[in-house]
Amino acid sequence: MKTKRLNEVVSLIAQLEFQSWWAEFQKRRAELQEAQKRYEDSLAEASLAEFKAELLQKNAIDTLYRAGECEDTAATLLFEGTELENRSYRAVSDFEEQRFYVSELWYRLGACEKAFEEHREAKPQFNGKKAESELKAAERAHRAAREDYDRETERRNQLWDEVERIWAKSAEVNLLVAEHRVRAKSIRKEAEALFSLAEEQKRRSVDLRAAAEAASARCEGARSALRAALNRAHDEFACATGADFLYFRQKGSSKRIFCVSLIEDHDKYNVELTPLAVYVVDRQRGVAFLEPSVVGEPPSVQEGDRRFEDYFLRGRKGSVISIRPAV
Amino acid sequence: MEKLAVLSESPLFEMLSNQELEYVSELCRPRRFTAGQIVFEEGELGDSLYVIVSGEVEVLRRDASAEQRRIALLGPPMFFGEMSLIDKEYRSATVRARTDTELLHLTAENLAAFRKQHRDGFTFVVINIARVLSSRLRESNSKLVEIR
Repeated sequence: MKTKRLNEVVSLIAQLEFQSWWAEFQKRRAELQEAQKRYEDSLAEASLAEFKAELLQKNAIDTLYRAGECEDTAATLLFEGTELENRSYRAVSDFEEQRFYVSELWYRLGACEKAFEEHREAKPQFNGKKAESELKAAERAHRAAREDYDRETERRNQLWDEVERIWAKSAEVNLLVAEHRVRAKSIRKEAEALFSLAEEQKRRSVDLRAAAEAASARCEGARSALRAALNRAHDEFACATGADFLYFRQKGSSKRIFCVSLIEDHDKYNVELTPLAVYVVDRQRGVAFLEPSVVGEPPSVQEGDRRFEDYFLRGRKGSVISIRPAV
Repeated sequence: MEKLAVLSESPLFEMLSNQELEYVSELCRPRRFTAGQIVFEEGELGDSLYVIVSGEVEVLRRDASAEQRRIALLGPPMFFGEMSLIDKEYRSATVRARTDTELLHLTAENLAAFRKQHRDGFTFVVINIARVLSSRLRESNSKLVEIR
């Protein structure tokens, strides 16, 4: 790094050689920025595709579990339906038995009724104690047969109600089994579609990851080209190079360095940076504190004195300052 | 924003030469605040001043009951924040943008760089700050007399 005066740095910047280097540097930097942007975009896309694939896979597994649950419910209901069917056979058998029994009681009741009627009709002809007691016995037998018949008829009816209840429940369960089976089938299909989408997304993410790697390689190439441009500046202009500045030692000062900004910046530094503007920095602090460089002579002592004379001895030059009061 | 034009209008930089103004303009950084945004708070450490380019700011101070009261309303081309820069004390008031505001920010360090390059210009900046402070003191004295 050679020492230079400020005017030498300024005239170097104006030279055709430097300007052509600057054009190349800007081109390389733009290429790097473009490559970086592409890399970041493709990396983001690849990551997004991987995330989507994972999410789809997870959803597919969850959906498959849901299909399984539906199938389990259908199986449980089917088992319940079979049990109900078996119960209905037993209930029908009980009902049939009771029906036969009630028929027998009905015949028996008929017989008792006939016997009772016969005794009652015979009573006026055979008046006597025996006839009286036989009529009473026939009456009791008839009443008992009636009671048996009524009770067992009631039980038969109850058994039939039970049969019908079981049949209704069984029909309900069978309908639910069918519905759950259809639903399970549809959910399983949904899961299969999700698995297929997840696979597709995985393949896409692999392609995108490969594209991101290619973009990374292009980025590295652009970075090397930019580094080469900076190295060329180092060799051709005898300056030290940073990523955003070129540095020239100031002639006649061991502490002061001229730096040429290669960027425009409004935030990061203590002053606003303009591309190719020359700043002065201390060799220890570097660009942590930049001072604008001044081309030309500083104002003479006399000029300064005159201003002070004007102000202090010839009356005030500036206006009286006042602050607007708070409203 | 044409920084040079703004600075040449500001009482802070009265009597500075064009060369000095150009140098100061390179040292100033533009800052934008939306209406209601705080520029700095009372009690903060501060080592910089601001020149108003456009918009209005209000200077607020807490009274004995800790309630914020507006003590001044400033617009272009006034400046503020110079007291902490001079006495190295904490900010004596809160400054809040009353409207969308554009400011130029000048730190103590940047002012020191100006002094290195333009000693007389720096002296005039200090004189201008002293003029403003003196003007405020006069106003306060007048108000004090009125109150009594």
